[in-house]
Amino acid sequence: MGRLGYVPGGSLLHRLHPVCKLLLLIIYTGVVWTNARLSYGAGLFGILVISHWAAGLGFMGRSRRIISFSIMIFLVQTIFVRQGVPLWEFSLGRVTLAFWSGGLAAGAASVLRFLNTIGSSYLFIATTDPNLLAVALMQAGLPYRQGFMLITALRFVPLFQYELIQIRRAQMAKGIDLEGLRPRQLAAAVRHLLIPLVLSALGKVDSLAISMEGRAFGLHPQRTYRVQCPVSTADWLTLLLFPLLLYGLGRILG
Amino acid sequence: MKGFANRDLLVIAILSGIGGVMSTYIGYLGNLLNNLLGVPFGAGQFVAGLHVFWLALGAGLVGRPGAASLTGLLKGTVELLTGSTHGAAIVLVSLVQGIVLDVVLYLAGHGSFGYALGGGMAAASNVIVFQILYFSGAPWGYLLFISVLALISGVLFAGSFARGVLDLIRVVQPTRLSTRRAPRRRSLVLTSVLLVLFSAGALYYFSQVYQPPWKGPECRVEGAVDNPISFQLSRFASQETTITAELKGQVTYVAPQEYTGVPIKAVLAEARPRAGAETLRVVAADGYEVGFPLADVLLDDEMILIEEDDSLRLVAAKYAGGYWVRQVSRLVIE
Repeated sequence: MGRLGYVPGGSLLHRLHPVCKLLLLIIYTGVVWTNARLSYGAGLFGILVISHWAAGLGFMGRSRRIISFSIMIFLVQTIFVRQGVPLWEFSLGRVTLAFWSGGLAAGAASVLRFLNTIGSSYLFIATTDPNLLAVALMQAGLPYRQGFMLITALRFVPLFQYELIQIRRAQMAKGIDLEGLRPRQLAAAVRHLLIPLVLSALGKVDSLAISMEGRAFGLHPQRTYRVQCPVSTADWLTLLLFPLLLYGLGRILG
Repeated sequence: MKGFANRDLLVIAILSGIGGVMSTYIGYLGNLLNNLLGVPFGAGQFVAGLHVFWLALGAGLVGRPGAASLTGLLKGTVELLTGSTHGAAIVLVSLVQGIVLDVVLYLAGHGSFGYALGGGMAAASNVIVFQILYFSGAPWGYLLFISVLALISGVLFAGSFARGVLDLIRVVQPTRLSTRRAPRRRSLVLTSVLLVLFSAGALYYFSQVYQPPWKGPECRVEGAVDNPISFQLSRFASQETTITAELKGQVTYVAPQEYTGVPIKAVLAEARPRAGAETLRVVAADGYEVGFPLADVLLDDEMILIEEDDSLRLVAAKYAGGYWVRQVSRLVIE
């Protein structure tokens, strides 16, 4: 599956302060995880679809894994939750499966919870530059040594992806089977992939550490930034109105 | 956090970056396992330990309490920002895995046992978090099975394998890493504490919760009764009766057939409902319940409890299918 990432744009959501968007994500996800009502979940889903549309993004339509995980969640809930009234029952040999009205409702609510969680996360990452997020977090008070960790980890992701492909090809060229799924083959594949990758990655630590300490990284409690992320009135307003929107929605659909 | 040197933070950042990259590959392996075994999900948990592998490496290389949690938080954030299919939930899952690993390593020390136990428990914790978020209705037996798969994976990949790689790194020295190891004096204390806790848990479970299959299912009569009882059908064996009943549900229909069981009124007679009680609520183990007028029940010869699939089932011949409660666990008089 191709991974999603930042999609540059000029929508309102793109222009919001990254930390403001992170707070909105935390609030939204918190509400999603603490409410099990089907109607409220559907309402939150509606907000999400509108937000995706407003940001000029498609709604996660390209992932088979999301669909299969949703089906899995739905099936588990509908098969195992036996509440309400029985709707349908059938036998598979000695096993009898029954679908109850409560199970269907629980399944739908859980799927909505999953879609709302990943949908909001996708909206966040598609409208937020990760590096800008790290800078904004540091300007908002996160110690810059910790913020630098996030920047470093993200900056190395493309390099590690490239190295993983190189190591994989090199090992396969040596005749090592990396695609077998028997336990022994799986263990060997993991060993032949991960050990070179780890050793190669750790080899970069020294040069980076020397470079950082040569520049006295971490000596001062504060640092300056080339890029500034000021908080605008629109950010404050959004932060104020969004929880009210969720509360109002809860009252209407409750 | 102040205790972490720049080199420690770099190690954590780099391991989180690789962990974020590898999560896609691990997900692919998990899907392959599911497809190979022909199941929609579950088998993929056998590679769950690979997600914790990076956290174990971080803890081992940095050697400070909190390293695994920090690696977990950062790895989860990297996965979120690079488009994980679990969204923000992956940050929570990864952080919890790191905390579990940190706690176990702090208590058990950085020996083979600590890594095996910590890796296994951290890998299994993902099942619990996902259960809380999305699978609240799944039966505990199934979750236990999946957790055991993840636990085994954690012991192998995040325990044994990570420990082997740490030893290899100490030999190869790809970087001038700190080779600190957390003090091991706590190992014996922790082992004793865990032994006591597990033993107490096992004792409580087997004495208070567990019902051996040969003992048969139990039911309680409670509420407005003079003699609350917990019983098995064998207690009323002498009063067993056979009735012919036809199940007419909204969807399900079972043609008339014979059912042998114990009349509810015989059970209630022993529990002695108090004067003024009006209703009998029959409650199932999954929370489903139905109510009956108590006066009708006490005169009903065709309302019996039978044993079916290792649980109790109510057969109510004079009522619709929705009243034939499965997995009966309580009879509540009100």
